Amino acid sequence: MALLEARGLSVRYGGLFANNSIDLECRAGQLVGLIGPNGAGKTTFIDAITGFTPVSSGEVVFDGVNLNDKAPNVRVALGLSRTFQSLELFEDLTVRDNLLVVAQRPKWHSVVTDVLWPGRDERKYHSQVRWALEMLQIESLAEAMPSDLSHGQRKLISVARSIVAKPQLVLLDEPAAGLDTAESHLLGERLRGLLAQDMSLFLIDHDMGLVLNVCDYIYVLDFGVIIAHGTPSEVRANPTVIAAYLGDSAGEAQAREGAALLSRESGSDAQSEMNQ
Amino acid sequence: MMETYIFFALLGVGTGAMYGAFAVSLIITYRGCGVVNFATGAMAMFPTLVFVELRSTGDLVLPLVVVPSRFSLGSQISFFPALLIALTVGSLLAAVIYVLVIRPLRSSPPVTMMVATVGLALAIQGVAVKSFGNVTVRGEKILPDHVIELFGRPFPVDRLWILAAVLFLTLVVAAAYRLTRFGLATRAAFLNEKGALLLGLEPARLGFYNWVFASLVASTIGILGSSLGGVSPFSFSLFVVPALGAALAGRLRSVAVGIGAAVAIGSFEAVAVHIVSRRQVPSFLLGGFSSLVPFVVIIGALILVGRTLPNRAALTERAQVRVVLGRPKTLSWALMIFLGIVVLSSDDATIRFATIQSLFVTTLLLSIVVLTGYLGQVSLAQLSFAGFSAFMLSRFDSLVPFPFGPLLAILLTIALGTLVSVPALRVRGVQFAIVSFSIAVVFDDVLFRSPTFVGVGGLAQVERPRLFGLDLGIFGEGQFPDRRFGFIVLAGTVVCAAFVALMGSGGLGRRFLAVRSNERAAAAAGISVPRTKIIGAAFASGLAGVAGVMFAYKSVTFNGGGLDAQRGLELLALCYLGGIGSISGAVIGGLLAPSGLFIVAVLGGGSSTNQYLLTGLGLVLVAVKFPRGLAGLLSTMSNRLKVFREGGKFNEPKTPTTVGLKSSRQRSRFSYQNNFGRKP
Ligand SMILES: Nc1ncnc2c1ncn2[C@@H]1O[C@H](COP(=O)(O)OP(=O)(O)O)[C@@H](O)[C@H]1O
Ligand SMILES: [Mg+2]
Repeated sequence: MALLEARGLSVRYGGLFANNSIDLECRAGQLVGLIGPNGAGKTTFIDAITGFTPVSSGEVVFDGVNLNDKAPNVRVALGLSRTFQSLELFEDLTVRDNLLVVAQRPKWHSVVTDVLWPGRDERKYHSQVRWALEMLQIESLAEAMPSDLSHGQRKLISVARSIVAKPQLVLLDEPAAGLDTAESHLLGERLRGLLAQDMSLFLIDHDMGLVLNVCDYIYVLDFGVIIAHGTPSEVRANPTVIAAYLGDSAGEAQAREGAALLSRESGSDAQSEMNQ
Repeated sequence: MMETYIFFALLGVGTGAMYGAFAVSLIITYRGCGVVNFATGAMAMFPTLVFVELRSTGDLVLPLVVVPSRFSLGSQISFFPALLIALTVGSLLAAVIYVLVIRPLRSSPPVTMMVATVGLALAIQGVAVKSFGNVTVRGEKILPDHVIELFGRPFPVDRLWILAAVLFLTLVVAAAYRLTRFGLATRAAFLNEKGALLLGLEPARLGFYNWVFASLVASTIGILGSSLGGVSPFSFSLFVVPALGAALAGRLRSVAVGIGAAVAIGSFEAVAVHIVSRRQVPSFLLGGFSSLVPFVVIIGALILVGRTLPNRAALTERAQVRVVLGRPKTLSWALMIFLGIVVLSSDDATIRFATIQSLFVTTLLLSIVVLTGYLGQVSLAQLSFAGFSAFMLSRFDSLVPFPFGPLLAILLTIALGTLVSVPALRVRGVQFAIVSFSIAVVFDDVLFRSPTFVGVGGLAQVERPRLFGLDLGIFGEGQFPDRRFGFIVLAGTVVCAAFVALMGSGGLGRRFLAVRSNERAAAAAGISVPRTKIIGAAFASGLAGVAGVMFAYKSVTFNGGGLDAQRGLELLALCYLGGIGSISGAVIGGLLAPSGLFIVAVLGGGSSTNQYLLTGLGLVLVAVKFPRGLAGLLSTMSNRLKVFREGGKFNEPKTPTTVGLKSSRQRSRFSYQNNFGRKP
């Protein structure tokens, strides 16, 4: 059964359908990818799933629960977590505190217990934070302020923050954007590492290389519509996808780059398949 | 009947037009500098007083202290030269303020800028009281003020002239912003500072011109309206409330809507006064029915358009005042408590009384630390909640025995504070400050001045608290103020501080800071932002409630004096001065409070005007130079000392002592916020 399911999901901004009747599934234990050019509606999709933007029609079901009119924080409590394209770190908290905030899932009695017994479970939260930082190999940054760090480091922190509460599904919004190829490759490895920890991932990117390399299943979004989906090799071979990426007038250069990547990746992957 | 209402509505257009001019001034500063300027009224008040003084005595008074500020220009100055000189003084004052305060703060969070303007307002008022005395002067008539007959009643036409002048000025402003390159540049810079830079416009210089221009608009109308109701050093300061209401109705953008709303507010106020005079409202509302008008407009505007209010795009990253959470240090707490006991045992009654005053203020400031420091909701209403608690106590202490009377008062205050915070959930930061300021004005006008609420003869009274036959009151059994009472107040303050410390050292404190830092990220972290804000408001009003109980028992008989919105501003200033983000900040603020221990023991009392002035200037200095207040300054110094003694490097340690402003300056990343609250 699918862990997350979007059925006919549409999001409208004025006259624009940023998401148009999207059907999408994430299975437990998988890394599912969503690619599409800038402005395709990828971020909007995550916003809709996590409750940051209202859905105009369709529904979101997570772990058998209909999320449609649940507040964002309730969705988090159900095991859904996300990162932001713009990171949205808590700029005035240390990296450790950034993660600690998320490590504790407040309960109804937290108001009282947090005041009367602030040290309760604190050790557990700290060890969770240590674990998350280790998963992304950024333990050394724990005491730093986000503003003192590089863009790449800040991205890793936002990913660490999204996994620290051990959610069932993490939605990552372009975690590799702005990283160089080596960094992006490293990130891919670390993400695959997370799958072994009982976590499922949903990855958005317009960097084809990463998505095609690490994902188990891929959806392709263009102008708010899913134009293709399948395993990486199926998507790679899909003529609609190639056409869409070549004919994208909004980001011609980027499309060409994508297409180049597509051919390169398919070549190298074909090789690795032969090797097996 | 209808005619009567129309008549009173027309009577109100004069005041409404003045609100309108201030609203326009607020809009210009907001568009041009990104500041909600609480000093708008004060900055217009000064040149107005200068003008009146020039006309009546011929003395030129400059906003200076220490050095001579009054220069005789001979006999009375005639109208136009006086106007010119007064406006020049006003513009120079504005220019100096921009260079010294506003420009250095351009990279600070909007809240810090706004708080700095609160300090400016206090400082300018302080200077004005020193130079002119705390009296209301009535300027000679400037506009035609003959009386015509309207609906069979005499109607003074001067208010129509004021309205005409404001409308004319607005047209000039609108044309200036629509037709000139300067206006275009200002609008461009509002939307995108970097874009403006690329166009070859310097945002800081644009801000300067807008700032001075805004002050010019307000001063001109202030001078023209000076004959309407007279001016005093405090007269225009509360105009900020209706003016903000009108500016918000115009979404801090539309000058036309702003003027319209302002005139409507003025008219409704006049009608409300008429309704009150006819006793058509419940008697407890008699005091301040008309002040409900701007309040309703502000709440309405914020609820309707609060979310869509434009944010000024900024080139620089804006960081909040740094708060360091953690376990309280046992040693420094023990030392402070010991010192408290020593001072409260003093033989000098004035010292004991000053200490009790400081403890009361500290408790009150703790509530501001929670709400403003930790949660980021700048509240100017905490004093009003304390006042509410005090009056509730005076009502219930005769009905329920001692420990329950105060408890009931505190619980009612929590209920009220929480209830009030619900409509304010949609707003944060500066907008919250506006709402809370209007709440403070309404509390003062509607409750604290109402005989029904305050008590017979306008005086509330609490009975001596007794427990098991022991008199625990301030008169006690010994000398006034009784030592036992002092110790009880100390214990109360310590319990409150411990509460705040515990709260700050666990998950709840972190959630507060997370909400303050970034509401979107907080929601994504599983935090319910509204619930967290309500919890913060409940805790803060509880602390204010405790402070109110202290106030009541310390004063025994009291009226609503000293609980007004102006004092609320002062209190926030004190809290920033001490250090908004820490308990030690509240303690320092309490010591520095008017009639507090430091003032009485070290400065020997001192004049309240001087203190007012110093609090204001201190706040401005803190906002510009030491965002973490005196407490932050002390901790930085002690850290340096430690490093120095250990022979280590003389570097500022990176973590907990970095001062927010500094780190924000070091940042090189650009960040833009657009209307969607997203960063591209
Ligand atoms: N809050 C919003 N209001 C109006 N339009 C929006 C908003 N957010 C996104 N859009 C529009 O929706 C479309 C999809 O945007 P987005 O989901 O951010 O794309 P992507 O993440 O794929 O780059 C874009 O055309 C964008 O301009
Ligand atoms: Mg996006």
